[in-house]
Amino acid sequence: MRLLVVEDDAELRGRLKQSLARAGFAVDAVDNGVEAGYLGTQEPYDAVVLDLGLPGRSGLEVLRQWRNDANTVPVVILTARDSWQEKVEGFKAGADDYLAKPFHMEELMARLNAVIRRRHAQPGGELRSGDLVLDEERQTVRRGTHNLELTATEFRLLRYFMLHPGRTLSKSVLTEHVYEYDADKDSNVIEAYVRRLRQKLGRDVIRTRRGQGYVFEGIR
Amino acid sequence: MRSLRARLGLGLASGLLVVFILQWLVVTLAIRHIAEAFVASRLEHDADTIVAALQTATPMQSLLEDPRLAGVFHQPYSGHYFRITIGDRVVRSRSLWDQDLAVDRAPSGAQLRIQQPGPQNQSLLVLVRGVLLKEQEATLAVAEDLTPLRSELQRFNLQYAIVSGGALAVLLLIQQFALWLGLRPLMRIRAELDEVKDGAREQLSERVPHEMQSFVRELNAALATLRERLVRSRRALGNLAHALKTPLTLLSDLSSDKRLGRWPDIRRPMQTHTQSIANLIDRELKRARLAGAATGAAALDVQGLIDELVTTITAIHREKAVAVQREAPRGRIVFRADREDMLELLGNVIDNAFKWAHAAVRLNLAINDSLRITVEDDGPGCDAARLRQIGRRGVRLDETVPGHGLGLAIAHDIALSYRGQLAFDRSPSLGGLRVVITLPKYN
Repeated sequence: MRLLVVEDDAELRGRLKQSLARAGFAVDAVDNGVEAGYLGTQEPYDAVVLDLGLPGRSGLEVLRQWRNDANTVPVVILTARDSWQEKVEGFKAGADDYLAKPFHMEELMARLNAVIRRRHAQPGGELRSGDLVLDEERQTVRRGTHNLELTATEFRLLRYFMLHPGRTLSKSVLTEHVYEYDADKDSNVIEAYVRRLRQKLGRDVIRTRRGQGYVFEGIR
Repeated sequence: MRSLRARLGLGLASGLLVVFILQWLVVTLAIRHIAEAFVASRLEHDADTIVAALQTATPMQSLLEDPRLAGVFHQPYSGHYFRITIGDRVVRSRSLWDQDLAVDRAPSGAQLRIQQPGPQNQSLLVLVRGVLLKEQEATLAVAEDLTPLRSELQRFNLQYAIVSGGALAVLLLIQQFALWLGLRPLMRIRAELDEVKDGAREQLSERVPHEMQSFVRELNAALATLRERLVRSRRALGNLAHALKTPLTLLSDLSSDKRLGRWPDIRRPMQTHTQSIANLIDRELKRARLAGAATGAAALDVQGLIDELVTTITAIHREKAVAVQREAPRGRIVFRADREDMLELLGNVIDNAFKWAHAAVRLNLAINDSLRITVEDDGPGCDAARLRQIGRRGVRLDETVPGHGLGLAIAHDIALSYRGQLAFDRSPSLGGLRVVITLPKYN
């Protein structure tokens, strides 16, 4: 899952990035509206955390522009401006959720997960496929009764697969959603991670479509 | 007398009335004077004729046969008379018939005019002249009846009064019209001020007579300052909130750091205090941002406002499938209040209902002398002691723990600033909390 965090306070931005990365998200963070507007259009984010009072362009402006351009990326507004007038404005502009500062990180995580699931038409709660259950809190996967440890990248990749079961995902799509903007992207690395996931979960869980990418078949 | 128009109207009308009465008096007196002077000069002519005739009349009595005397002196009670006294002899015109003219003797060369009653209720103007006739002192009195002249004058006076009265009435009408025309800009300003109060307009129109222009400009400037000050203070408060909340977030994030888990005696108070600072800032900032009923507030479409809020709040509580039942009378419900205030008030109450509801929220709208909005949910509700406590003014914020707390307390503050109230009890139909918001229509 790849996130865009737009927040002008440097310290809060840092903590957000750190906490979200620890929770298994690839996070790009920017501090102004202009850059946010550009990145949100160029990069295939799975969700955006958007502050409203930004230098350059206001968060609402950026959000309205995305929605005008038919960009439906889920957006959680995170702002100190918490009057109902502003909440109504925020939702009108196309926000998916609204969180007022001060807030707890756990609540932000919960809301982000909720908007992402909703976008992929997945029910809330744990991500599962047959007897395979992803524990997002501990970043492990459970098969039947035994737990399997996952590295951070394995976790990100598996979560993305489980959110898109049955769909063909190209290596470049997977790279875009698993790595940050400025990460050293090498799509061959994806092959290696898929191989390791197959070793842990079984060969048939992820099928290769030659020349196109991978399909998460799940456990039947 | 409070009305400027009535005051001006009365002043102008009484002035007009005085002028008209004065000119009527002057005109009637002058005409009467002229008429009497005319009669007097005729009497003098008559006297001259009679004196001339007397010079040649021997005996005295033959004077009455003199052809120079006008016929009216021979006709009984004709209204034209004379009487001559020379020594002991008296000659009277035949028109006097059996009456006499009571006249004192006058020294020669003297002449005086007197008015006295005559025969048959006539009112006579008498010219008395002392003359020297053949070396003898004589007194000649010539008289004419003024009655026909008087009645003619009376008729004239009456007609003149009628014409004057008519003119006065027309002038008064014109005056009232001019007053209305002149005061119309004032009336318009008053109507516009009402609109400003209603929030239907922000400024007074400056197309007014130049005497009023500076006044209207000053008023507009004052209105603009007031509005600007409200906007500025709201913006300043918003900025302050923004500035305070980011460090607060960091602080509360720090206080939940896992490394602090080892020192719960530090961690717990830190968390409580951060939370209570956040609550304090929230409530005080929101209270300070209240526009209240005093400022120019626009007429709001309450249903539209609730539509927007329900859409937003449904989105916030999307994980929960809450069915919203709405009851409202037919037609648009319009209420004068500041939009932000109303959104804040209703938003907090409806959001609280959604927060606690299992599956249903009911909204009821009613309007008569006041606007009444009832919000019910099917949640757990509150016990009687808590019911009394929530939303009460002056409850310390650190006591209003999260839950049915801060939002309702803020809503309560807003309702109070509109001289309204919030009442809490158990919903009879849904079983959860019922909040009744009552806001009087502000005049």
